[in-house]
Amino acid sequence: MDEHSSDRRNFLGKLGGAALVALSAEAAWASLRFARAPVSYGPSQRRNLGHLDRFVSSRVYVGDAGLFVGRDSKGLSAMSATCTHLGCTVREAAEGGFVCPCHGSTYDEHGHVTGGPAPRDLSHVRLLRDVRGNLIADLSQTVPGEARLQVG
Amino acid sequence: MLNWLKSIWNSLWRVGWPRDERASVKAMLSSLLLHLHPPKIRPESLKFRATWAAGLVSLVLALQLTVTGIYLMFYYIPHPDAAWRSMKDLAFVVPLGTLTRNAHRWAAHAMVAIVTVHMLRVYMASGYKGSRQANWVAGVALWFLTLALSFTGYLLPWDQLAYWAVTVGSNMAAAVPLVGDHFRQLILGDRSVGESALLRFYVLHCVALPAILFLIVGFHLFRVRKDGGLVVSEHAPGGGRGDEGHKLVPAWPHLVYRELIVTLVVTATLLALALWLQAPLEAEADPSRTPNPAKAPWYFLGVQELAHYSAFWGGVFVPAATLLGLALLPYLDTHAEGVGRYLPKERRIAQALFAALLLFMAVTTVVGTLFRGPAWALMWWPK
Amino acid sequence: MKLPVWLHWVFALSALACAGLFGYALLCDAQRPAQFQQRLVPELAVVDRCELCHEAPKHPKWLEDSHPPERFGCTPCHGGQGYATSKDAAHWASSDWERPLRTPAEQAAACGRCHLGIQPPVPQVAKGRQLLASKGCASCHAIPGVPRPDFAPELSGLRDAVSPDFVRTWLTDPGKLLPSHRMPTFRLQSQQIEALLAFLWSVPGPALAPLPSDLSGDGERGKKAVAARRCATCHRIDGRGGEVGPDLALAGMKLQPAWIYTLLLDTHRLRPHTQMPGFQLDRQEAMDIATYAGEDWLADSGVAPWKQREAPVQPALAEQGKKLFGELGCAGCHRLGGPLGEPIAPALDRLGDRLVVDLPKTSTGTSQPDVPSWVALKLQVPTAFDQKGAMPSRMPTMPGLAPADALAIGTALASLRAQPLPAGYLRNHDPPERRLPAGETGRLIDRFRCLVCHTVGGHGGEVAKVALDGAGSRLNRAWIESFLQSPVTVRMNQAERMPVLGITGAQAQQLAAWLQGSQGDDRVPLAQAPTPTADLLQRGAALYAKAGCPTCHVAAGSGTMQGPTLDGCAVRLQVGYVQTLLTMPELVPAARHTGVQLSPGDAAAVAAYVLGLPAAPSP
Repeated sequence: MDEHSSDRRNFLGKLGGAALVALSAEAAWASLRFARAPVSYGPSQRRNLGHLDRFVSSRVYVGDAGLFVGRDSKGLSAMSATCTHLGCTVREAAEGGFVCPCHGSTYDEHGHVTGGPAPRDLSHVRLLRDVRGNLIADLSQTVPGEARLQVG
Repeated sequence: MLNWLKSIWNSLWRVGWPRDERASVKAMLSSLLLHLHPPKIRPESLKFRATWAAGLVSLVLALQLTVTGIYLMFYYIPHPDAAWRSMKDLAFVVPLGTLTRNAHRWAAHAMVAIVTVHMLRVYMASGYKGSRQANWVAGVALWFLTLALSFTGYLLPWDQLAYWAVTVGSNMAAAVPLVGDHFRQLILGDRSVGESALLRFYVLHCVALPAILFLIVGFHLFRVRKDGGLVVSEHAPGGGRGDEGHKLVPAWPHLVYRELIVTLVVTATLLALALWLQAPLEAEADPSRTPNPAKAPWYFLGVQELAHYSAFWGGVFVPAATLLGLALLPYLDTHAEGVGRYLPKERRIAQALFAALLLFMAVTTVVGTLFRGPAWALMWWPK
Repeated sequence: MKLPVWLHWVFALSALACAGLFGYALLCDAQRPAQFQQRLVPELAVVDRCELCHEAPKHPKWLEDSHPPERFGCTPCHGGQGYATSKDAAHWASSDWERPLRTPAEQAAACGRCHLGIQPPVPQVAKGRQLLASKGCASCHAIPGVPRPDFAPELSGLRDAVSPDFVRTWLTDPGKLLPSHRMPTFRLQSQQIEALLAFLWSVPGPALAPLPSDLSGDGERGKKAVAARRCATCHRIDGRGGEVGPDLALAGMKLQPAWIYTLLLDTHRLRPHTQMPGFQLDRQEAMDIATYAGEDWLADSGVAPWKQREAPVQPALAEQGKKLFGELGCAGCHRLGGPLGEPIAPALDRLGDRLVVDLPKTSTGTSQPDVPSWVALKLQVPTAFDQKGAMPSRMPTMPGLAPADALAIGTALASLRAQPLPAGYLRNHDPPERRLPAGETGRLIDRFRCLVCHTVGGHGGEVAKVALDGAGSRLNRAWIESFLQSPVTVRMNQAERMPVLGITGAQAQQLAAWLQGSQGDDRVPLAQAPTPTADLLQRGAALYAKAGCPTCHVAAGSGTMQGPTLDGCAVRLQVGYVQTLLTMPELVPAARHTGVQLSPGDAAAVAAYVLGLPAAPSP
């Protein structure tokens, strides 16, 4: 009898203990799921850069989108101003090209790395035009540096 | 290697799993959480009828409210433009958001009820006499803080229910003579419930009041321990004094295990409630549209019912007098008879007085909650 | 001492219950995607997740272009709960969400939140707003954007004008006397009517001019004068005529000749707010018309003529009537020798915020699908929502309100909400503000009530087809002056409509100067007639025929009389106007020149030909 109830105590204790371990695991998993933000209230990845008429000179900086919009004979291109090292915003250097103020990475005017810790060239993003003649940049899509949006 | 890991484990716990009485006493004394308990306790304190587990359940609920509250804070934005939207996000897109909010809401309601029950039990057992006078006052403060936490938390969803409950509630405060309006503007930060009120209530609810609450809880538990645990009847073996001549049991595992079980039962109940009972969220707060009737949360409806008769006498004087009376109780009722027993013959008058107060609170709350319709008119059929 | 076994049971079971319930919660949540797409419009506080299920909204292109979803979202027009991620929660009302998807009428009302003004491009709302104005709703209810009307007759001195029997019949059933009446019916009991009558009889009006004893009226002459003055433009006479003023058939049974005589001679003293112009008549003519109008035209109507005056009223009854007059809100429409009364009915400034479930139910307990149809029912059966034991509704029944009209009014009212939208979303569809000259010219325009029939800058009545805008660039000053003094139509096949107001030469000069000075059209240049060479005239005549002008106009005795006769039009029309109209048909839409568009050279030739036409010999 004593033997019997002792066994039962042990079993129930272990069962409950296992349930507590499972509960902890569930709580940890739930915390991870809960904490991952499911919606974004940040600005859209598709940015309206303004009417095409704005972009006539060879390079226009659009600060709120963090883009250099370039224009050449083939059309428009948009280069990200975000340094590929740690994400600071690069500036146009006095001697041409771009320089990052944080750790001194330098790029030429096509965004190729010319010095400093930057691991990659500056990226280019996709440009679109909407029905009202506005230039739209899709920050979620990168394109090769040669890609151009043709303009009439 | 295994030994090395074992040494890390042992450094954490210092004492191994206690297998005899000596080890259990040592464990109780050396662990941060466990040392709040006495190493040995009277066996009758373990009985359900001794405590109704009300104090422990209150504490467990307070902890669960802290945990769920912290989770909610990840998504909650205390600004009128975004507060209600963040509640909708919790309801529709945040994984387990509804569960978290429901759990927080039902735990809050339960805590108000359980803390009141705790106070009632301590009163009936005369647990406020002798060296326990100050601890009763701390308990009254905790009861008041629980209500204040509920009230401040009630505004945060920024829905019609919240907005108007708090508008009504804060206007009751304004009925205090001379300083009432000043006091109302002090808590609202403005002339009406708005941006600053929301921020103030948020800070009070999430930081200031919980911090004060847990400080007082620490004091409260410390005093219980120092006053020799639960009150015991003078007729019981040991006579409520000292430990001599009476068989004590080690708190580990007898008390700790029971506490764990109570925690689990409360958690399971709360989970079930949160899964199957939805916390309401009405339309976004609209200062231009008052719902009819605008009701405070249920535990304030007794006061609101009284305030319906007179804003000052019902809304301010009676609650303030009740609170003051409760706080002063141990210094007014100093007879030592009947300690540690429920409904002792020696305390008929005190019991009757308290029962009358309780009945009065219950009746006004029930009337205010169920039998008041639009324009606070009596309805004979609860809606 | 060991722990009891049951305690272990409780421990194991409660731990299992916790783990199980939490696991169940996690399982329920497992299907939820980690990321949700949503459409944000911060200005409108819109968070719409409709596109989780509705992939590409199917809107017509014009709508997509004018209301791009990135600027308008979904729920501002369609309603429903944008936050929701489940079908039921998104579409239907629940305890957590009061406003389900909008009904078609509610959607039209939603358009009206941005499209303000009297002519929004939303037919339902436009119709509703125009009805709100024309039915006089704003007399009793304060309605934002709807002006208070002022078209009901002054009631002071009513006893001098009409017979009590007329008032009784009118208050019981105005349709019996005047099918096109605008006054709503108030469901009055005869005792209430007697009280109102007693009160109205106790309020004196301006003194009447005594009928001159030296003159005697002649009904026959009066009848001719009524025709010559073109009263029928506004009044119905013998079943024909306009509806601006009351049917003159009523005059005979209700009005006493002295009152008519005073009205004709001193219109605006007796009736300061009437739409009737102040005719400038002599006493004899006024006497003749009063005699004619006062004849008993409807002997068989059952209404006793004014002559049967009744005994003086009892003060107690008059006091009762005064109270009733106030309670019914009569003063909202009718003046009583002073300003209009305050609106007595609830303001309707936020009807769109109301939920139809919170509005009163009908006595049979049925509820309406939306606020517009609730309003429609209220308009058609004002007592529909009366509760047993409560005060019955005082709202009168509107005459001639079709169900579609009632719904349009409901739709227009449901577009009124308390919370303003950002200014960038609002479009005002009101005509520009009305500006009339001050001084003598303004007094003349008011005296002759020009704007009852003509519009200026989008304001005014549309009895006359001719807007006064641009008239100064179209017409010669001398012609305007002579037209004002003795108006004759330029469209041969149409009845003479412009009333003969008796405008004097000096007054006509003043008005013509105003038209020429300030009602010009910038698109019309001042031009001199070119020297009419034979060549030019010949070319003009050929082009005139080729362009199809004779289809509408009479010239040199041939053509049809759709449009104005062109013989002798040089007296009337300015050279620059004719030339411009021929090159720019949209210049005057009322001219209906659409499709006739000539080159400037051709236009000059046709203008030279047309303006060179001699006046036709008077028959």
